[in-house]
Amino acid sequence: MNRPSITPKRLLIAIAFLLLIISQLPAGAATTVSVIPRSIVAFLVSPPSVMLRRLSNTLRPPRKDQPDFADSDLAEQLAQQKVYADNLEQEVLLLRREIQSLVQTKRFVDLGDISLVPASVTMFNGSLTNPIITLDRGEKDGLREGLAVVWGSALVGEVTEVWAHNADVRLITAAGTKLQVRIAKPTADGATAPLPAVIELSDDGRSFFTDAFALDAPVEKGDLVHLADDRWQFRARGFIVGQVVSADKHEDRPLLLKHVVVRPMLPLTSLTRATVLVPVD
Amino acid sequence: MNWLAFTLVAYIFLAMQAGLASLLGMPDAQGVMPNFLLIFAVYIGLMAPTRTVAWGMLTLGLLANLLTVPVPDGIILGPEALGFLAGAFAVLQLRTLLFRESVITLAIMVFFVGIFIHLVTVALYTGRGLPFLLGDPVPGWSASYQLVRRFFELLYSAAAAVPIGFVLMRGKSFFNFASAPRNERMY
Repeated sequence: MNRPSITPKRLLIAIAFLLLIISQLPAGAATTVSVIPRSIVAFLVSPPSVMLRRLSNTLRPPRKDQPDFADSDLAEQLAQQKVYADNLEQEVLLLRREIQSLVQTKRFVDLGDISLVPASVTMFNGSLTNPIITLDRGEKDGLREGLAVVWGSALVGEVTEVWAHNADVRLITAAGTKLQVRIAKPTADGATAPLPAVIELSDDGRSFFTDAFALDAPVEKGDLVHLADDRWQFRARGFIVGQVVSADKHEDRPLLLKHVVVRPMLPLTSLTRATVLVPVD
Repeated sequence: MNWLAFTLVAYIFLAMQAGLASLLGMPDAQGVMPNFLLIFAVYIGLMAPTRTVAWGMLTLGLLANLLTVPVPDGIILGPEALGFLAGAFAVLQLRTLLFRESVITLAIMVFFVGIFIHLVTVALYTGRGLPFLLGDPVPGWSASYQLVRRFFELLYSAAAAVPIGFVLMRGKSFFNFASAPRNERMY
């Protein structure tokens, strides 16, 4: 009896061998192979996973980091809370003025070079070293690689992969991230110029740090860190990367340098919505 | 086995894996969470006929692979899929020694088969850093960190396997498993 040349066993061995080869190819070639299946899976899974993410955030709201006042006495806590509230109020006023000015500008002059495309986050891959969220917008909505993704005034990440109806966004907390930034006071008093710096991601993947400031540099807890990196989309500059949560003496050089820690304003991995800055041609 | 039922349940578990990180991640969404696809794969490995186990676990491994993005460029197809295939081999060797229709067995097997799966997966990702191979090292990859993280993920998955296994065992007729032959060789 003639045995068939393709049996399930031989097919399984061939697939395993093929996967072994693909797994050891250079990154560019290896990822090219997975584009179509990834796109299909992302498209099929997005409706239920969006619902589950919203349900998850409802049942377990993401914790937003607040400035830590636990170490101060009551009077100082009250004073700090007042300052914090004042800063928030100033920020709200600035934002309202900004909205008003944008509305006025749009009424008289149609700049129209940026379109704010809202998107839902359908997946999060959960990797600490390369956190990626998947959006339900793609090429058909004008997205392309390199566009900045924001939420409110906070910078979220950069589009890395785009398909017809979906896009992957690498968060700013990906391993090896270094950003050129400006550190400014929360209230724009004009007296203190923003300080340029380069921040890099710490080993825990949850905050940034810089050791470049002298001990007497005017960097304090609560200062806002704005993107000023020319490797990013032009319109992304100015968005907030995070807030300074500590500016203490450097561990190894306490008499000379400051160790500044910056934490993102939002829990990026728990986002359900995001906005993409799409240039209008 | 009813492949339509398998597809439907795999889709549900895939959606749960993609969507429940915020709820189940310990201590936060970036922390460890149960691997639902692993739990379902081990369930298939325990209950399905021998030849179906390999294809079923390979399919679930491919789905798990498509959720993981280790490099900035995208997904590397292969490590998780081959890990699950190795897990299929392990579960077929071990299942003859155990009482299969028990959620405790499922939980224990999730842990031990998961060890095989993660060892193969981590080895394949780590192997990309070897100088004589074509692949580029995965940025920020630490094999020891990955093994520790995956160990805790296995503990969490084994704990989650008890309630999930209870539901799966009740739905055994849905999958229409044929009775397994005495010979447990994969081929």
